[in-house]
Amino acid sequence: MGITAGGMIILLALSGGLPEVMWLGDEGILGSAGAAAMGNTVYADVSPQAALQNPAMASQLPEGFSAGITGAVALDIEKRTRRVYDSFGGVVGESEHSFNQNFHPLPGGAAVAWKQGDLAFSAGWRAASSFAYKYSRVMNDGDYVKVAQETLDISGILNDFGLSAAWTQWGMLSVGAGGSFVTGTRSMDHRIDYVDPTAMDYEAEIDADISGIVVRGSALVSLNRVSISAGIEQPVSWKTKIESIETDLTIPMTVRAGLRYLPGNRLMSLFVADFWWSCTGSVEIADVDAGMRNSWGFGAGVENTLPGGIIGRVGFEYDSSLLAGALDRMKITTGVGWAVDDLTLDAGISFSPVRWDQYQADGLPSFTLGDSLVVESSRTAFTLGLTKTF
Amino acid sequence: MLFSLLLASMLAAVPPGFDLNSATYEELLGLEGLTSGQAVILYDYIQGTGGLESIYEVVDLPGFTPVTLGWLRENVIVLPAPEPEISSDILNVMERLAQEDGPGDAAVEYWEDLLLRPMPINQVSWWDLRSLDRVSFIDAASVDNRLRTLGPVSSVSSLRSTEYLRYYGYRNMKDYISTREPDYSSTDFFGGYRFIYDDNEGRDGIDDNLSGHISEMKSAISDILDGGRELSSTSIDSLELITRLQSEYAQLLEARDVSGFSHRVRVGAGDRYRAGARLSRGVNSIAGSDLIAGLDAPVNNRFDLGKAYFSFQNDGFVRQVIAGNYRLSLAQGLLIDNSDELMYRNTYRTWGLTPDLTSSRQNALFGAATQIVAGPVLGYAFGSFTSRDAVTNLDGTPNVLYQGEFRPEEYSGVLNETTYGGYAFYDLGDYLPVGTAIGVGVLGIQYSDSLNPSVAGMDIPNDTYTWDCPEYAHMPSGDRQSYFAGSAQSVYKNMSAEVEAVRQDNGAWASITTASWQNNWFHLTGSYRNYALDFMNPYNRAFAEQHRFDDTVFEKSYRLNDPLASQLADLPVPKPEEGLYVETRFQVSQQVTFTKVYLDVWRNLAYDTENLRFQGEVEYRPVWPVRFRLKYKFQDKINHKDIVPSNSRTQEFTLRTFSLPVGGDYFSMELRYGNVELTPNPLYGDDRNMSGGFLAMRWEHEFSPELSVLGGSTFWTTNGMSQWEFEDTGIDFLDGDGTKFYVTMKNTLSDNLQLRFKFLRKDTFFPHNGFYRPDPDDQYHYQGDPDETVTDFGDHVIDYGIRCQLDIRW
Repeated sequence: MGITAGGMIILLALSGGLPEVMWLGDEGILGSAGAAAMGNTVYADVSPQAALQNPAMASQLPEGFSAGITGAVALDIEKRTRRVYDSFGGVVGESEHSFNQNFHPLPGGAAVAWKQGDLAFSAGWRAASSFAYKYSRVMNDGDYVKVAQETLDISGILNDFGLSAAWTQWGMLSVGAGGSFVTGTRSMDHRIDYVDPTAMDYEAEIDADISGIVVRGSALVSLNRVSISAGIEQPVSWKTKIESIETDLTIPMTVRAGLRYLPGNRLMSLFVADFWWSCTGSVEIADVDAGMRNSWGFGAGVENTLPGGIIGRVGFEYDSSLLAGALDRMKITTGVGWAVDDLTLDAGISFSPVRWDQYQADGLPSFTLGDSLVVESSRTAFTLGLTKTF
Repeated sequence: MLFSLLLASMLAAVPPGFDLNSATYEELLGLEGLTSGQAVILYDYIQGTGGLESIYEVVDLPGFTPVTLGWLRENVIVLPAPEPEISSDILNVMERLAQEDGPGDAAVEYWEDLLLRPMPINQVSWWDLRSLDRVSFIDAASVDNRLRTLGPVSSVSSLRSTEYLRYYGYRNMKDYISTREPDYSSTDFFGGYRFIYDDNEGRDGIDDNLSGHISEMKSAISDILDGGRELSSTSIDSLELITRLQSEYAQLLEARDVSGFSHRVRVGAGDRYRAGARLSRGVNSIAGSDLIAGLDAPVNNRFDLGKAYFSFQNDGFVRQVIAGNYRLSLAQGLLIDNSDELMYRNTYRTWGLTPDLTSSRQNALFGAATQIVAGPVLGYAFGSFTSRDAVTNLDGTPNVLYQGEFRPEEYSGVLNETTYGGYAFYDLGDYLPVGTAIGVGVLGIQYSDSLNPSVAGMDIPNDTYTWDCPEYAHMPSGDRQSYFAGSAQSVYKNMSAEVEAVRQDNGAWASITTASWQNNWFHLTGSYRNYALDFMNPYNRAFAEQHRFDDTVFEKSYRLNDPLASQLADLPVPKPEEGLYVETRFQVSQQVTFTKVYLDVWRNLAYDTENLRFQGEVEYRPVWPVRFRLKYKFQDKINHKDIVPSNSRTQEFTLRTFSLPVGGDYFSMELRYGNVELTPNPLYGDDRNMSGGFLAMRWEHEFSPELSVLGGSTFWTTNGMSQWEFEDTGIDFLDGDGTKFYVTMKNTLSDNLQLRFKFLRKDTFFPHNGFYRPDPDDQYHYQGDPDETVTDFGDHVIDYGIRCQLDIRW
């Protein structure tokens, strides 16, 4: 959560407390493509990118210099339906209200790491959060005649430039610290163009600059086949600026933990899991309770080396929403990997559906007024990553 | 310095019999034939794979040369890595739940335990063996007889030659028994943790159809608000009812987003002590199931079921003592079987007292229970105090006991139940054939409040339907009930007979008699049952064809004051019926087998109507890895109606094929077609035929004994007759037209960790036609937008399901 929550909270403040779920942005690919294929278990990932998130994990990287890069594309599908009732009030079915697809790149990250003996360092860039939402709907009157075209376009990215360092003592305990400078923009364009030339069109454009600093600390214990890490992430000095109006925000800390287990079997299996929790329920905006929930999430995944040498991965992730239970999201992931000498190529695919009723998230922007809009959306993301050890 | 000295001394010589698989990291570094880089790679490989199978594997590792291999061959050895102790069968045993006429949830948990710590076969009796899946009474008694007459066995396989034990029975028991000697002095600590995450994003039609309940509840509220039920002119307080229904409606809406979580921990010490606990929340569970009173947590953060137990075993004549939650299933289940499930046409019962961490909630017993064995006497005694759900009258008094997937606050924990009783069996095996026993039992139930099954609390007043439900009219009233049971059973060679009769304190009787004859190629089972209309034991799970409220007004929610009360249709108590059931299996040749043929002729004692059900299945196996099965089902049921009874005739044809095309693969395909012929009714356009069918395929590939992936897909079309299908771990109902696919991965990572992932997508299409209404006041409309009318449309519902199960053992 962490940075993404920061983005969310800023937007909540900017939008007068409206929890506009589709405006909140999505967490980026913070670790390797292999971790993305195993339930997005970034805190249990051993890669230069993940070492920025979990500094102590840098100690598990191979000796010498290593580098990693990830990138992804995503297909977002959103269907909005309205319930149809008979004269007795019974539900007959759901008819389609709008249908949108958005295929777009999903920035990942690139990082390098260097390990020598008990010391390890990493540095890099990651897309901490991205905003990519497109919505379009034809507005009809009761006779199915087009009266207007409504569009909403949100874009932008939060960049995370990070550094981290880890130190290992007694062979089994590692501690790490790191920090990031986060900066980015978000642009929103909402318009309604009426067919009737005498009607006044609606247009709203909001551009926001976001910046902040995140500090991180973690510890890792490695015992034979198991390694466990835990740490904290604290955003500090968060600012947002819209048309020369600058706002400071306090964002709560996030606690994270990760687990790696090497069972030792003929499939060379690896089991990973991670967990996070944030007291977002305590967030206040202008000294007023923001009405959010404490949020948490976990992920788990497994890796098997199949006959022939291909690495197969599968996992799932569950993230509770800080806005409403209906927006809790699960994700299923899978992927493959190939290792050739010191070069590893990983590919992953994740699928995440969610469905909610409009009334279940109070204050949603009303693209339709006063009815029970049901929103079904899914994201399918394809991730590619390369890791090279020198 | 010290390390250098150590290294130098190790480099000097390799100890004889140096095993690479068990070597430490430092020991590998110390081998003079390996560079430090090779030692690191070799150590990682051994750790990652569990060990080398042969020294020649090293040539596949980067940086290893024939020279290195040659040095290793000369100086070290490779001992085989230990075999895993955990069988992948533990993951497979859950799939038995998803079989037609499959076992219950409780039994599966018990079998999982036995796979880890099998029964010590030389210490068990026929009643222990009767707790195993598909092990008949004759199988169990024949093994007991073998042990009593010839003494202990030294291997499980030596039971194979036991007289009258079928190979089928032997095969089904062999994984759950061993010749190990129990060690009651041991305090070896072991245990396991299971985590299950179960989500059905948008998939609320899995079982009880949450969407349907929401729609029905909304209709009922609208009807009352519109004055459609004329409540104001009756004695029923319409304000009270509308408040309740609106509250339930809100709770049902919340339930749509609730995913399932389950945490279960079980621990043990030696063969003496066991303990366990479970904390879970079912998919679509609602607020009424708040486990901890006063904890105002969001519905998604609550749990709805908590269970725990501690048990103590085998001390003198005390065979077992359980404190906490337990399950008790004895004789033929007529007196006591506290499961939430009624298994249709189930001729294999799990017998005995076991700890209970299952999902059963309404019939869970919490207190203490004991099993004693004193000479020829086997005795059980139990006591329980726990809360029970009930449908309430509008004045708040409990109407009848309730069991449903959706528990509104208004129904949950309405009263407390104190349950107590015992069952004693006298084993006559020393004088008569082994397995012969007689038993007597008693069961007492006391409630904290009197049950008051008032029709006024259920029936919509002044509607066109005249309430007529004899099964409801004979539901228990008052605050206490008691039951007395007698049973007898015997085995002679390969024949068995059992009888159990129970008398309720109101004078009502229920009885069941079952007899079997079996051998390896043929078996015949006959059962006669008679459950009086006024006999109602909430713990009766004996052989049955129907639930008590099947084919009653409780299947029609629009005729009930509270539509949620329609869940009583699933009350797991047998219908008052008298029937004769005959089942056989007959292997004609190696190629042809009649796998299961049965005929059930029964009378519904509520209306004295006759019903019939027949099923025949034949298997043809042209070559060993390929089987074809053709199944035909026929059911003729008469449903009571006010003037003329209606009749339904159901036929179902199923063709299945199974094959094992290559080593670890398994392929199956199923084609089904069914139709129902009904008594024509002008209300439904005199349409008297409904039909439906599907084509399902499943393929499982085993990459290794530790990893298999199963994929399945189904295509279906229905015309009024919904279909049901078994997936790998559950049943699914298919409506409209549609397709679905699912993928399941089973991964045994080590003795300590097992995983199961499942993902499913289901697309269902419902055409909605004929929305034109000439009357402007009778148009279909969008909610909140009554001026906008709806024309024909197609409804496309996409459901996703995900389930993850994680088992950690130590």
